[in-house]
Amino acid sequence: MTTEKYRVRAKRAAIAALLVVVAAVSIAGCGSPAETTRVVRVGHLANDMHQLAYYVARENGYFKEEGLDVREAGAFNAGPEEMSAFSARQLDIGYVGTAPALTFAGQDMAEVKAVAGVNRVGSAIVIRNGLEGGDISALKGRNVAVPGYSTMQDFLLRIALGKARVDARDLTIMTLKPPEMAQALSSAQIDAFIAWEPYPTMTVTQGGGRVLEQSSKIWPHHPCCLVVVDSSFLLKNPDTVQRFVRAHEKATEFIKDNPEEAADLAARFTGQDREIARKAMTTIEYDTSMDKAAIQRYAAYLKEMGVIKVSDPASFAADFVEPGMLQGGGR
Amino acid sequence: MAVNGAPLLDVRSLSVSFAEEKTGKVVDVLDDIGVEVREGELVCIAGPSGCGKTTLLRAIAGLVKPREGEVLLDGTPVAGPGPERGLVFQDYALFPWSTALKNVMFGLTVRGMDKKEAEEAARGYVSTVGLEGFENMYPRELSGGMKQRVAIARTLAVEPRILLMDEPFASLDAQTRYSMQEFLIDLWRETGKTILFVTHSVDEAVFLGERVIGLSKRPARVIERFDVPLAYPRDRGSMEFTGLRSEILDYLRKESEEL
Amino acid sequence: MSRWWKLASPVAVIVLWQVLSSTGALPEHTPSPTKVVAGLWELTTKGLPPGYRLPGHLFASLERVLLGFAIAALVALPLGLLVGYSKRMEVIVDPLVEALRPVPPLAWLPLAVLWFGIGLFSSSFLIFLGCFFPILLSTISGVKSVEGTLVDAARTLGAKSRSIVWRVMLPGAMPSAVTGLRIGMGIGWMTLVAAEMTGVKSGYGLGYLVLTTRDLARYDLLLADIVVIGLVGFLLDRVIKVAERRLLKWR
Repeated sequence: MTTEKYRVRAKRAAIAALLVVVAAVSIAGCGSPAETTRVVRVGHLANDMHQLAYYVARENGYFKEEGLDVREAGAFNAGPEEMSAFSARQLDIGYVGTAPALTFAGQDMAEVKAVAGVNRVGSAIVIRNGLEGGDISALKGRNVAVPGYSTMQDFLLRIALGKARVDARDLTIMTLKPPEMAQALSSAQIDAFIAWEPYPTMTVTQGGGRVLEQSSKIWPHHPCCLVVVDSSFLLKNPDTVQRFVRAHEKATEFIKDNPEEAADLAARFTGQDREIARKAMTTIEYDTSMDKAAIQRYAAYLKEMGVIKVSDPASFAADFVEPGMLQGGGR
Repeated sequence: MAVNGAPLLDVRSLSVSFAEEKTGKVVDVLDDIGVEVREGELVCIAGPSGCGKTTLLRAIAGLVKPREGEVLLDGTPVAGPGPERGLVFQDYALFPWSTALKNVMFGLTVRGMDKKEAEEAARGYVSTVGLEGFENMYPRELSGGMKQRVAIARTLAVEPRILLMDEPFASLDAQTRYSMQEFLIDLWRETGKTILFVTHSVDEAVFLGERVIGLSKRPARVIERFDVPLAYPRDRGSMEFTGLRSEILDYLRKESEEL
Repeated sequence: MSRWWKLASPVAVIVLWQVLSSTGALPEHTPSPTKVVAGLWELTTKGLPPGYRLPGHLFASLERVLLGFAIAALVALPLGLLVGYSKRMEVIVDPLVEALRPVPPLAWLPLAVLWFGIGLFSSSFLIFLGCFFPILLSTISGVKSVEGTLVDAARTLGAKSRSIVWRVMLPGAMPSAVTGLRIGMGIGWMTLVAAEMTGVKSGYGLGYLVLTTRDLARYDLLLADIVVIGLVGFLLDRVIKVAERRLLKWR
């Protein structure tokens, strides 16, 4: 090559290199801490009727309307599994039960805050048809199944027993996963269970048992599922979380205003029979408000059972609940 | 009880064939074999390796069914194995999980004898084969020669009418083999048992047997029957022995070449 | 070689683990060895759920495993002898065995609960399934490995079929069968967690405890439980090894 041609080529190469560097820097610049992300990794419980709002928001495009890119990062079989994913920082936002959320947060196993309610109540005590009795005292001396030690349902059962002045030690309380409860009840392995919908409705419809008590009677408006957010994600992306909650609120409104359509979606979401879904939903309160006092009460129970070690349930609950994202700032 | 003059064991026109497992091809192993053994005799059958001598013994023992011919013991045809035709194997076939004594007791207890009785009787046989003191050893702790002696004791314990021995010393080293041959002769002279001994070694056959029956290679046929009129104990070094042995050896070699 | 070398790798692992934990090199929330030891203490004195102490969990699990294992052995050993000895039995039994063997015990869980209800027998049933096939197959293989001449010798000594099975096949198959027992015990113990998922009426069980620790986010207790499960599995294996040495001293 002649020296002249060589110099021209060298100059072109230098300019190209410079352009590449500039481009690289600008691309790297995107996603810098100052920018918020619209990508949200969401977890929820698989086939869970309480968490219908998530499915509705997705199906009706509410997340998209808010400009969010929602990635389903996990459909979990149980709350504790989902909370483990939070521990491993694989989730940004999740639909999860109050019990596992507080259990993990109260032991510093996950750093999350609740930003919206998903539903309230929606559980029931079911007794098998072979047994007599119309109230809680019918459980004396019986085998009763709960979904887990110190779960919300376990707590509700003890509240119900307390109100009926039945000593919990007069029962045999055992742990079973809800899908197994119906079968155990119909084969008289257990005499009663307490579980969340749709299991009570399924059991009753199939003739396996009858409802002894709705959870809404035991503790009116008790919390159930919540929308929880990873704390640092909330800190970095408050606007994104706000948008998410808005979409969630829209979905919850939709469910309340369009029960029939919602039931169709529920049947699709959970794989459940449509009529059972419709009936089960009548006992679930789809509501986005959060009750700090109720959460505090449950936290105190967990502390009493030795599950969490917080010094003060009140301040723990206050810290855990972040109502600011809700329209009207929550209750 | 054998009638005087009639042989204890009479093998008549025995022919055995096998169907090869993989190809199904039929192979003739024994062809029209005739063997006679009188009570108290020590007869040897000599033949090249693989000729079917083992099959012959197994047919006599009742483990193999012949295609043609029959095997008579005391004039009655045999059907299936049994203790009256004791078999001593080349690989000893001792039960490795039992002690020497327990092995010897096997044939007794398996037919219902009381354990204590069997033990006493077995001890006797253990001592007959010269293994006193080794009763509680397991086969893996014994040498080849000792194992074979246990096997012999085990067979003797069921008091067979005839002792069938299938190349019992072939796995042993030369020294042990010679001492076992001498041991066998002593045992035979002491007990008066009828013995049919099979070997591929003409030397061994001539050293041991009162008569030697030579077999050809497969399909085995009787080439010739020889008398060995030498007195016991025999001396390998003696001229009569070496002479007779060479004679028999040459004859058999020549005949099998021609066959 | 000094016997202390056997401890070299476990000790090294624990030391390394503690070092990594103290320097924060382990993934978040992973307990350190000291936490695990504290967890063992808590499980033994306080229990999880409170009142359900470690010895109770241990005995409940041992009971399930030993029951499942014992029944598996009692069925598989004689069946193995029979199938190994009789060609006809083999032809009859083999297709069923080959069809069932690849199914993981856990798949039987819902049926187990249906047939046996919640409790000792449903979990023991799953463990039985885990133990059964290794014991059966190694017994069959053991029988087949018995030298033909041994059977011939027995027959020439006057033994009939029954004696041959009990006095030749059985002891001859023993080495292989005992290996099968060891493997079966190992699989049975490992099936424990799955088995105890059928629901444990009493609330006791080492496998069941795993699920409780997970629900309550007590990973220190989870690891403590894992240590116990591993140790007990190891000891069970040892026990069979000792029995093996005594049964097979003729080898």
